[in-house]
Amino acid sequence: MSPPTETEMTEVIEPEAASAPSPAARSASAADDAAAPAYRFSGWAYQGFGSLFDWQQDSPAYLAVPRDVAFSHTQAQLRFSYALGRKFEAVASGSLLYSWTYSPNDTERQTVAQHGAHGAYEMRLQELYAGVFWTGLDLRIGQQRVAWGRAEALAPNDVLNARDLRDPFPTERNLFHQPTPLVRADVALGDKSSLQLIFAPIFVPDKIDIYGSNWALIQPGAPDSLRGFFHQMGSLVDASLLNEFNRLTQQSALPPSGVTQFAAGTRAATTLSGIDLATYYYYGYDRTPRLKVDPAFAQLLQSVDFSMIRAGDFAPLFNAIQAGQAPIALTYERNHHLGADFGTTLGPLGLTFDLAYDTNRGFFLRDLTGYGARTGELVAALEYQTGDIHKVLVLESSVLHLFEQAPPPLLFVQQTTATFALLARAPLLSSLDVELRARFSPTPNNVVARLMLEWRVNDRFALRAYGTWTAGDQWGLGGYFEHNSGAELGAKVNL
Amino acid sequence: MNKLIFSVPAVLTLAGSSMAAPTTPSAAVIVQQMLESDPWGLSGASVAAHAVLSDKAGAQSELAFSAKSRRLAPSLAASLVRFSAPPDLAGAGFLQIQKKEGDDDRMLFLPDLGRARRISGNLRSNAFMGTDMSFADLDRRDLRDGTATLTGSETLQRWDCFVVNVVPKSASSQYSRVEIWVRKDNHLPLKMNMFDRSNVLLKTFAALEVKRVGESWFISRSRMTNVQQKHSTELVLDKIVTTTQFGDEDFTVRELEKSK
Repeated sequence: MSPPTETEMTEVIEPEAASAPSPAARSASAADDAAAPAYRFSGWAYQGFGSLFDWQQDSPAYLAVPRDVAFSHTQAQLRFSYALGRKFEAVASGSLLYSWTYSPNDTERQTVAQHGAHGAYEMRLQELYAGVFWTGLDLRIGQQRVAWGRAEALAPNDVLNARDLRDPFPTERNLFHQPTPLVRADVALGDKSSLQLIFAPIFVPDKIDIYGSNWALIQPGAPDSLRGFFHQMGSLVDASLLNEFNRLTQQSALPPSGVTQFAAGTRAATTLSGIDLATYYYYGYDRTPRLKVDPAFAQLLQSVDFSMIRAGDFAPLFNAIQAGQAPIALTYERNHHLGADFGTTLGPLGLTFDLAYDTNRGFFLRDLTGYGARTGELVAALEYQTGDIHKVLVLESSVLHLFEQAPPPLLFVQQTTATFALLARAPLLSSLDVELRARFSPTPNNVVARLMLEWRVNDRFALRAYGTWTAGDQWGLGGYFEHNSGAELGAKVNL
Repeated sequence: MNKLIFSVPAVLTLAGSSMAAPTTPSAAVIVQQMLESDPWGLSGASVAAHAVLSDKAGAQSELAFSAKSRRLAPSLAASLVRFSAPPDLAGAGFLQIQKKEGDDDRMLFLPDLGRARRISGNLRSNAFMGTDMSFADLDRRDLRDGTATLTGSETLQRWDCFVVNVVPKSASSQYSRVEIWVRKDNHLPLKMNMFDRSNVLLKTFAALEVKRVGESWFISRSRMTNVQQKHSTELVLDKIVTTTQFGDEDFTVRELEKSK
């Protein structure tokens, strides 16, 4: 029999149909099929090599902030999911990350303050949760990602999970949001409405580098006193312990563990005539650390001449520590978050709004100490929908306002800050895509953008080229990290 | 081989028995019967399928998915499609709930975003996940609401077919008209020609294999070709199970956002 063509159609009949089972028998068979166990493995691996455009090191040396002018990322992630019909699911995923960095070093030792070339591994458990489903109730327990709100880049309602802020534009987006331990219950309220309840017994802070990496908080624009202090402290620690150094610094004053330190939230959602609405309330810890420097220690740091530091200069620091004080600490504070969003379609556009109010949202002052403020934020987003994941155009605009009388000068934001975010992706040729992710603000004037060219060699293998551009006012995100403009070449394999 | 190829005489016997019907149904009834025949298992079935996409340069890519569906009313259905390939689409889901009045509900779930989002009705003329099927081809609203005219009968290969011309009602439809060859015996569409708004041939559809599962007939292999872009999609239904077991709770955003 020759292969069928459009003018030659074949007609087949499944053998079991010959016995013409009753509708009930067929339904039972189908139900069995729908309830059958389903396994799925997925994963990817990425290797990238990159360089900054500006190789000039910070000066003077005793205040220098390390800058990794060349770097390599090796990343791999595996995910396994198991589903038993509509009754049960279990998901586990993890990542293995290896980063190699190089910053010119004029000393023999490789330390957090002066890297030279060094590499570091990081193993990360991403998801580990199980879900049990009944009619009208879904219950999931474990480490999981729960996305609140509708905006993607400027997402004020996405408050449940921690973030990895050590690279605001990771090559893989799912490395940015960090699943956290949660109990999640979704209750159906009729066909169109639902109620979600969230309980978080353990607080997980955002991952932030305080010192020693390209996106660390302490950059050349930071106060000399902090640059000098961390340079001295970093000089005591081997470069291979950079991640541990930052974790130790960042988690110097975590909220105490225990059920009284829980976080909890609820989401109520409904759909009315093609409009999706949701409201949110979350009581938990704001994930932005508040750097607190004891005033006496701050005064000491101001008086230290870091160009001729002596051992005795830090004696008051160690005396204070021995006395049970914390001369320098990063703390986390409680916050009430209220939010709402709405989404619909208008012609070819997806239109969404996110509205958020926080009672104690964290920011950094320009001396890098923490500052909490009552804030309101409105995000409007337009998506030109194409139905093709390789053709994406999303524009988000945000207005953030601090309801404080004359707040002190802040890092990255002002009392009222407008920010825009753009995600655009389109095919240039049949298998060559271009993607632009950008975030820019007129107040303070700055831009952070990443352009990607991706050649999809086949369904499983792609070659990529990235260009990152950071620029702007000194206290804007792009200006503060202006040295991070660079390029990266990489390859990704999907398993 | 677990399939039995129908012998030509048997098929002719079947066709002949159908042709014995003395009266010719109206075009509207033929279209209604065709939609009711549910040739792709979109109204009360569980389906595993894959599609091979071919471009004019000969490059091919593959899409794999499973789908479940439930009949809501005559020619209206709810369906949930879950993709397993290509890798960058694995885990994505598409939920469609058809409505007699007003726009259908369409929600897309992408695992990277972790949430479902509503898809515009204006997308109907756009390609569905890069295939040559548009969203409109899936929701069949152009056929459901269009004006049908019976233009004659024709024997396609060895099967007698009604030839029906359908003019979509909506001015926003990508098609000015659709010609359909509908088999007289089991109401399956064996061939379709879709014409763009300038009345130029845009796409062709051809059934390559039809299969009877129980008492229902399905188009188990078919090809949709965009003749203007020289791009084609061959859709293969690898497994079909008819069922009435799915309920409303299987076609909700909660279900769409489950990690399968």
